[in-house]
Amino acid sequence: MSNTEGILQRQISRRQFMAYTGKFGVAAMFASPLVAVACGGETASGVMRFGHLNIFDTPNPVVTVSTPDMHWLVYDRLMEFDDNLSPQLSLATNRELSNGGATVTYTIRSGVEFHDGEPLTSADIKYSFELYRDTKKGLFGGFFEPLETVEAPDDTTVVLHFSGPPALDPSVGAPIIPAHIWQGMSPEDIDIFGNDEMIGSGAFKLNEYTPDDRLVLDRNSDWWGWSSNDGPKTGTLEQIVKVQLANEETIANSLRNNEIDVTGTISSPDIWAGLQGEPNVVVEEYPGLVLDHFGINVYEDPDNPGQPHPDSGGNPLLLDPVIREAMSWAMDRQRLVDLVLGGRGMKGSVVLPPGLGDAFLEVPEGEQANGNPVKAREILDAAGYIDRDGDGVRESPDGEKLSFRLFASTVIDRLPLYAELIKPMLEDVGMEIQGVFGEDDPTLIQRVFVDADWDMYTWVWQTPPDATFMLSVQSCDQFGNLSDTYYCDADYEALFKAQQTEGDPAQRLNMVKEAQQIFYDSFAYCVMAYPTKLQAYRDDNLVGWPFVNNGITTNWSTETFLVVSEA
Amino acid sequence: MTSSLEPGTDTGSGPVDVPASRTVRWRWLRSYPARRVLQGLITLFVVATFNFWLFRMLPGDPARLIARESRLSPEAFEQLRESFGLNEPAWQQYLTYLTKIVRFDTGISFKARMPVTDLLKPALTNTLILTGAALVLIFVFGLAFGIVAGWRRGTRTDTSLTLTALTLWSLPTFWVGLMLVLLFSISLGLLPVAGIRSVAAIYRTPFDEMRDVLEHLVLPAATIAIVSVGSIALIMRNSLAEVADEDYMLAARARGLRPRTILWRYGVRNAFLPTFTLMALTLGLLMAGTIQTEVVFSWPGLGLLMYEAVQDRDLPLLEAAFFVIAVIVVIATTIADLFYSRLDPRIRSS
Amino acid sequence: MSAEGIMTDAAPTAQDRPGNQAPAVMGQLWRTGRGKIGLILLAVFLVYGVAGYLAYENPPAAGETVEDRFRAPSVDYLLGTDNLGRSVWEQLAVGAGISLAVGVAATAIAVLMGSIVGITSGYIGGRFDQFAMGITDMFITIPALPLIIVLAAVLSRGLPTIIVVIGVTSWAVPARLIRAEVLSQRERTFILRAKAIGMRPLHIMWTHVLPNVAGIVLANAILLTAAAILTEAVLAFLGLGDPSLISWGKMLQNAFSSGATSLGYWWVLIPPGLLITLLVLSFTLVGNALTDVIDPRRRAE
Repeated sequence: MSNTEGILQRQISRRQFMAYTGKFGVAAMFASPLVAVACGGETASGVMRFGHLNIFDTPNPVVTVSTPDMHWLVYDRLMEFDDNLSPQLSLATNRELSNGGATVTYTIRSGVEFHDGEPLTSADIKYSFELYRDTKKGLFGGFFEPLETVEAPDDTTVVLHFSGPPALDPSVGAPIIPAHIWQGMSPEDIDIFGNDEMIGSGAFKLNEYTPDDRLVLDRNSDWWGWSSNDGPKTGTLEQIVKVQLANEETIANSLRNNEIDVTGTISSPDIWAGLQGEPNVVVEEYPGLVLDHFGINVYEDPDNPGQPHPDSGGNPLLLDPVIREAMSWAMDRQRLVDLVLGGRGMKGSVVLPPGLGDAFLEVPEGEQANGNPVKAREILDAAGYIDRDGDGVRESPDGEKLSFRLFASTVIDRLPLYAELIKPMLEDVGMEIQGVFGEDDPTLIQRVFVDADWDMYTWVWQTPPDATFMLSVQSCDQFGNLSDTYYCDADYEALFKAQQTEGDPAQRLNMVKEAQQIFYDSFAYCVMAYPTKLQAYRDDNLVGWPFVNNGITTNWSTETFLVVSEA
Repeated sequence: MTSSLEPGTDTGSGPVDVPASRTVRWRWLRSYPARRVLQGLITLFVVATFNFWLFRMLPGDPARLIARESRLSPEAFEQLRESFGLNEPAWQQYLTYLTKIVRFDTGISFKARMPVTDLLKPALTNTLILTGAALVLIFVFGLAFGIVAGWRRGTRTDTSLTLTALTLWSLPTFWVGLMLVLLFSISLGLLPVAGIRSVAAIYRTPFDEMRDVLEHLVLPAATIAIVSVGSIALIMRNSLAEVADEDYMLAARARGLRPRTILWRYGVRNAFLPTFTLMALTLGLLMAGTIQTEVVFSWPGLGLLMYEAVQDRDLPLLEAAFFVIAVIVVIATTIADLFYSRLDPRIRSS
Repeated sequence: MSAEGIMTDAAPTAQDRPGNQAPAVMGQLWRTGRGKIGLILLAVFLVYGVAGYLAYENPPAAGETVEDRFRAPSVDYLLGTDNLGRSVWEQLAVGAGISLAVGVAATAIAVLMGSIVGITSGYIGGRFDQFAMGITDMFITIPALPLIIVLAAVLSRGLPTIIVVIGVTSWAVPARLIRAEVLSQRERTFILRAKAIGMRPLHIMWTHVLPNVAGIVLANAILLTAAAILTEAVLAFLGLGDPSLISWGKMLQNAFSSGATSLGYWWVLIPPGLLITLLVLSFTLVGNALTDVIDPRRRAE
């Protein structure tokens, strides 16, 4: 291997981040409990012990693709998500839009210092953002694609020029790194920079980091946020100890034994349910930012409507919405939620998950195409898809069999389970499913996103807490990138674009909902379920736990760490 | 096992074990130890070569695998190829790879973005602790059962011990681990079941820490031992059976020594060393049990690292962990073979 | 796997009797206690595997509601259900076929490769033999399970991959055994006689060498099958098996990853492991007894 291996994850896309973070939470899940051992487990006051399957992949914020809550505690951001998952000013004290939303001017706090005592100025922000833009790496790099230039006219002003209004202003996520430490490193150096010191300007500073074992952060008493006039953080945490535990049962048992105070996401409903009723343990179910979906290849030739695109390897019959609608009717989503998620989730419908709150379009129960095989057979019959040769599989009027390939990513345990359950449901209404093919994620990504050589597949999306990302997946511009249906609809496209620049929140919400309805009615996706985020915490050592959509830890919001206090 | 298990059939061209004074300077190269060490080195070389080509012979562009991303522009691919030296001729890449391996530079982990060596070091220590503890158990119990069975050869005790040994061998290691968890941790609540030490533990003395680690070590070590103890017992039993027919045993019997004396002074002593070396030779098999056990008990060793590397498709880490395991096994078997050859000169001179 | 201690301490010795000894060997095998138990168990598993394959779909149908998950054993659900509400009883039945198929198919590959290397190496001898045995020893030294994991991790997931990977990593021991046997046969009078009358080497191998090594090959193959079944279970448990088929190892992986251990759901944990053990044991018993029968020197008495 060469020493430039750092570029391994060059250009990891948002899409992959969504898949991989999902995976860290779920696929690595492992069972075997830890029974209380006498030694250990002394609790100092003001310490939060947080047990999770992964601390993070790397302390280097430029290349990380993990859920970056620990990075966000160490590094400041211009804006952050509060516990309603809406963006708020953070290091910035003012934000102004101009040029139709394509230019953003920030005013930042003065007198802010990095953990090593050096001042933080707009030059650091310019350096950081240009680095993210140029390296295009890691979790944040992808959000900087529309950024053209950054100006720092004075120490407390930053002006961002985007090619158009950004889908999500990257300022809400990107950690501000100290130019005086990072400057002078080549892109190759940065790729493999271990960043063991983690010098930032955030609420906590690094005390100790042992890879794959533990991370200890100490309170940064000098942090502006503890005393700021506009929204002081009331938490009294002195220390955060994040320990990496090998499996979910260990996490559950550690919580039970008062060895940790809070868990990361628990993906096994059974392990989570096992914590119910334990003394001082609170189990909670949070609406998630996750959707488990069944994506259908609808890649159409724009020059020959109704005909498959020459690059598509999918079955042309899937271009007929009737067949897709019949699939949706044939799917018993309550059964999927019950069996695969142990009941811990919601039946799937639209493309945005319920964790997005107001932006989530609730399709009335009676209008959902779901769990009605009789209806599925009816509409297939009416459209002339009838089993003419009596082999149990319907044929099109042209004699083409309704025979499809169903793929499932093995990256998360539950995806093949969905496929396994769906297969007989579709067979029951007269379709042939040639097989459930489990494929590892890189292979399946190639198959779907690049080669367009699939019929249907089961996968999962995790979204940032804003509607634009998930809506953008189905945009015509995303072929070969994020699109996993090759869906392209003029009305949808117009709404998607318009909501990005709509200044009136209520108006934007309407557009977002209308777009969801249009996509729902296309049946290019059959969203199977929205898993809820399962977590548990103890309320005897620490109090003041907020309720946050998508969970109190391992989330886009770091509010929890800033507001809990010792009991 | 290695060639030494079949004394007499090993290849070689005439006696080479001549006294040093008469040896031409380069002749040591043809001595058994030199040949054996060379063989070990060649094995490692082959493993390294396998790793190199596996990575590059996977379907598709290797740059694509490195990128973990399929939608790179052609220019970006070219850049990636260049920075990885992938546009150099294959043999040149291969040479670079080998020179790095010699310096134990096994690349950078895809996921952790740090030198794989930094991840391997603590894992190696933990694996050696676990394997060492298991070996002690196997050694003590395996020899004890083997001696009893060998001594009471042909009796009911022998038969039932042999049957037990075969049954133990038939157990899937990971399942034994699960059963021990179910019994000793869930039902009885006696022992911790995962990890190497308690979560967020604060130790007052080093002794505290040792006790904590020991408590965590019991079940994993027992898991490996339970499955392997049977084969060691059988080896000991058969070694005893073999020496039983040796002249010195017959002579001892003829001299009217007490059976117990014969067993210990002649039997066990002579059967012990072959058994011991054979045990070292089974280290490769022991590693198989260790991997499974580490996964079940979340023991942070090489096996768990391999398992996680598989999950993350972290090829440099996966290959490096495999290489380290191969190094351990090759070193152990080489030493054992050399040891064995001292005991059984037929190997050296055949 | 750890079988090698058992397998290879069976230092091969010559049979004195050329020709078809099968009925006699079977008789002797039956008379050993181990052989009898093993053969009976094997027959039972064979019937069970075939019946399971015919009776149920793989994978078995899932449950309907959330209550169907992890049902404890009852009259309606003989061995309870798993995390998808699938009957454990049915999963066990369909899993038997997978275990048997993988074990036998992988062994067939290993024995075929081992026979080719062993027979040619032993018969040709000389430098070729040195070279071939050097490679064989190398394969014996390289730890098998890590190698299998590396291979299975990069190849596409599926039953054929599992079979091939296990097969091509276990040919070395049979190759060694067969070569040793061929070496000892080579100098036997009837072969020397065949050579003297000008029979072609291939013909000699086919008609004289092969029948004489068949016994030891068979005994070893049976033990290899046992090891292959164990390896398949391990791979499935590590998540490297065929994701669309239920096997006993996969059942344990499901149980393990859904938290059945700490929740005490014994019915998804105990039966699959018990069946793996019994199936492996039946092969081990037969193989072990057969080795003794063929090589009388190692018999207990």
